[in-house]
Amino acid sequence: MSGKVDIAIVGGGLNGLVAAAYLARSGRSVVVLEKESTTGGTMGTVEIAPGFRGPAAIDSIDLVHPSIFTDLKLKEHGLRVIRGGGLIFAREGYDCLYFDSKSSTADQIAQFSQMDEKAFRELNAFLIKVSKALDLALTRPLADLKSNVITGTIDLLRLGASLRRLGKSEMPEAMRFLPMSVQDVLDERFETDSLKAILAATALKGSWLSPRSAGSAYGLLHHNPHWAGGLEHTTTFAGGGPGALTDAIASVARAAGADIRTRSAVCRIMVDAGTCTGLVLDDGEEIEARHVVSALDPRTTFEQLTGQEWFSPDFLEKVRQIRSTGSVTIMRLALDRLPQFRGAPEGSESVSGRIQIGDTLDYLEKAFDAAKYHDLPDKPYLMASIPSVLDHTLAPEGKHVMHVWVQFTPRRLSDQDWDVAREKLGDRIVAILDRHAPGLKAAVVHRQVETPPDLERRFGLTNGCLYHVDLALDQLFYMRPIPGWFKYETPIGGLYLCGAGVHPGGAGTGLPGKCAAEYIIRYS
Amino acid sequence: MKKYDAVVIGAGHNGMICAAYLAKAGKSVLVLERRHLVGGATVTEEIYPGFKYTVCAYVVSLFRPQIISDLNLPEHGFELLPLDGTMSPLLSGDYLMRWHDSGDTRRELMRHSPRDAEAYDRFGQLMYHLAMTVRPMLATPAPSPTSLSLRNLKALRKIASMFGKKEEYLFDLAKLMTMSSADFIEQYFETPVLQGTLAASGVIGTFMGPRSPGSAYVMLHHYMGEIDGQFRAWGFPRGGMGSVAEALAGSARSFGTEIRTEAPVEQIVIKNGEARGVILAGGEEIQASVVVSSVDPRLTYRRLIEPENLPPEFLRQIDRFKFRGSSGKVNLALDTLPEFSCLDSVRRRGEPTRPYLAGGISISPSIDYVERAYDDAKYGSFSRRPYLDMIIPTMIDPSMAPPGKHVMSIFVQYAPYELEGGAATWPDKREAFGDAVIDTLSEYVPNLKEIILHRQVISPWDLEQTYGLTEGNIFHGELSLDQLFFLRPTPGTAGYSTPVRRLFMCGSGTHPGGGVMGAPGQLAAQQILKGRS
Repeated sequence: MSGKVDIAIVGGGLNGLVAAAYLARSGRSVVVLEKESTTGGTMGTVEIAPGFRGPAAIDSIDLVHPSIFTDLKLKEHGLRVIRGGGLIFAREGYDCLYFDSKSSTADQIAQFSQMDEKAFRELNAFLIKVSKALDLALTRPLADLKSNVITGTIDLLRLGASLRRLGKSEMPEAMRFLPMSVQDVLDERFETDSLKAILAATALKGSWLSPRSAGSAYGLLHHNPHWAGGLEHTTTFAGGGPGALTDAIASVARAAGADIRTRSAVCRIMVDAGTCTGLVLDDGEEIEARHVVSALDPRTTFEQLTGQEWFSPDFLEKVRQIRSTGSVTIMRLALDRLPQFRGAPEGSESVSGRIQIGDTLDYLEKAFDAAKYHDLPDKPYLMASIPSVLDHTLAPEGKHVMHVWVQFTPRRLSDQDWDVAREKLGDRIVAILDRHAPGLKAAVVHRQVETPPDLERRFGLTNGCLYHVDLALDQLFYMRPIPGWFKYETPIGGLYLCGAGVHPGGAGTGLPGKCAAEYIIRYS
Repeated sequence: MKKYDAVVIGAGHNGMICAAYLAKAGKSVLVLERRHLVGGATVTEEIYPGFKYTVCAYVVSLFRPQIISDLNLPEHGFELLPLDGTMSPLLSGDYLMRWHDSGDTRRELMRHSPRDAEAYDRFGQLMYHLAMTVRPMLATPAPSPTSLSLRNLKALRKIASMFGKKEEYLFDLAKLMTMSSADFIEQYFETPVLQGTLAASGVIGTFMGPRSPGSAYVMLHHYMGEIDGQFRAWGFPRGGMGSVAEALAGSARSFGTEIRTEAPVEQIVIKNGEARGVILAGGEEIQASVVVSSVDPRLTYRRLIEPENLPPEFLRQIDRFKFRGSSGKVNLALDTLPEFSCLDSVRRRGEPTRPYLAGGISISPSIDYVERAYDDAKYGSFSRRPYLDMIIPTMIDPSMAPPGKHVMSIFVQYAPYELEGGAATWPDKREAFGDAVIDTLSEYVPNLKEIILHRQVISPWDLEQTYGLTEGNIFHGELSLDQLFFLRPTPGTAGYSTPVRRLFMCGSGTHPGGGVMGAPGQLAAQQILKGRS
């Protein structure tokens, strides 16, 4: 490569590409280096078996911030958004609960509990209100008094004013809510166990927290933001799989002049006198850059890509203290027919949205109990989808792909090796699914099980942690990824972070990438 | 009929502290206690002849030194005897001993892990600074983040500037407020028993495991006492916890306070939204300009006040205030000193074992041990292998038992108030719970069962029925982040006032919470004196 680029981005996942698109559009020369043969990372589309393709890890695109769609005009770059169907909540020993996507969830709750209908409406309104009030903090770089007193103060005052608009009763309520456990939040309001489990499962998604863990209530807010419709949100897919979304973003970046290179693994970030000067690829190629932006998780970035000599012992200790706990196993199935869940309406509409398994709060709690001691739960909780129902490009005609998100599965097992446990776990999950959708087991023509160590290898995620840095209260806002280092900067001049591990955090919003780009555009 | 300036409901330590401060300021004060003795949960009772049990609370660690001096407690018989160190026995025959002397502790830790020995000092310093950062907040009413009143803004500014001075600790403090004690401790230490014992202090009195986020703050709350160690506020009161109560009663009386026992309050009299006095169980009415309740928020607002006197939204907030007691107590009368098998090596070396038994003793061999104890409780049963925090009061004050005999005070977690089958099944399960405790301890003390002369088992149900602690919560409500500071017990009433004019709260259910600290009683008195009365 000739000459020096303005920006070199390590990693072509959602956030790396979003950052690339925004930075390229600002007129900077950008190169993105992705180690795999395709971009997208955990939000890519992968082959399950010949003719079958499915999501890499995150199956839906409903949390992607709407500003990214509009700023980048993704629809003009070929993105097709598919609105999924209803929600199947499969229950042990009973028919499933089914919520269709045509009427509101609240109306459907009213059919079994007036109390819960009211509670649901109130909680949803509250979450949407809080999520809007926090917009300035949750969708933008955080206010920073230290680097610029004037803009910092303005940002802070604006946030304060926005919070005060919550009112005298709701502001303390919001402050009370955030550190609570999702179980306490739900127990205070709802009477139906199934409904509590449905809501708690969304709050715990991808985290290393149980329903009883203080701080897990924040997950409700994080996974049900106002722009996705709060608790009423419908699962949405990208036509062609989530990879089609990241492809569209890549195409925007390319149109703005970015060079996106796949099969280009970065092995080292070059640093000279405390300032980074570029990258070295696996094959020895050197790329000079004014700024390097890492979309990889902070531990991988600081412990593997840069020399340790640039950091103070205190900083290194803080890096070591980052909790990136892998908790999710991804299972992808190729099916030769559409499964029918017990008690769900006949036909394909009912399985075209979200499918959840995990009866009660105690079921979720017990799934975590086992993982806490590095064991596999007998009954993990599952969040699944069959994107091929509405997207025929993913499987041959009449056949389907099913994506299953499995929690909680620890990175390290106490008494066995993951290589032995992997397929046993796969069998266990298929057996659970088969109990709820009889015949599913026989319909499986191919299966992929990716455990935390597999995700670690495949996507370069520390411990296989999909959100890079655990979403826990002590690792959010000004504490993400490291207390005080919330500004996308690092101790190395010109090196920035833009992955899910930085504010405002992962789960497929694209916001870390966007905020990092905004910050770089503003300050460099 | 005499009208008092203030009538205080409940003669626990906070009630009496509040009364004493009010009386000291010249007010006429009456304290009403339901039981036959004062003290509430700080009592010494001779349940078995000749043996004095320090029935509920068992050590003084957080007691505000200022209260001790303001109320001249030493003159009224208050004397603290030092507790030296904490021993954590192990089934392997080894133990971990943390002495009061840091050099001794360092030598002991070196035996387990040189890395931990090195980290222990760093950890101690950090905790010291964090405790010093938080401490002023415990000595002042919690400001509200929403009110723009001048007084409130001043208080907020004071706290902001205080934090400004401790800036380098702000993030550590934020972590401590939000992390689990296990995660926090694992950042520093690798020895399982050290991890277990330190992390366990984050679950005392709360329905959380060491891996529950939020438990790290409880750890700091308890650490605060050790900070005050330099003022000799950490130890065992001569004569047991009851002598704290007696000293407080003596002090309060010396300022003119009247204290009536066996005088259960039935109702707080409210007219036109204003408290006028109380009615006792026998129907006697007592008039007062101000009513102060030292009992917990649930009892105060749900049992003593007719609901129509309170806004429905406020009652909803009170109903969701979490108590869920998680601990019990076992008190033993012992024929001889228990022989811990982990001290065999000390005996073999010919050294005295007594120093090892003169402080705290903690059965907390690892974080997972305590966490598994919590797992049992989550699903509605007491822990089969509970976490135990013990002292042998007779090692410090031999007058607690006949010569040569001993008493042992065992704090047990977890004993959930809500058992599977309901809290009311506790009386049937009480002794089985006691057996689980004795069986667990017997593994560490092989001669235990032979030397037990008497045992008293106290379940959370008993704490509620006998001591009036709702759901058996020893802190009058859980010390979780959503129930602390300006949220304790509800936003708007954290400043000791209530929705009822001339009615105040002064118990542990208000800021800054429980733990025989005395701060709620003291701060409430200050607020009352500042106000209209």
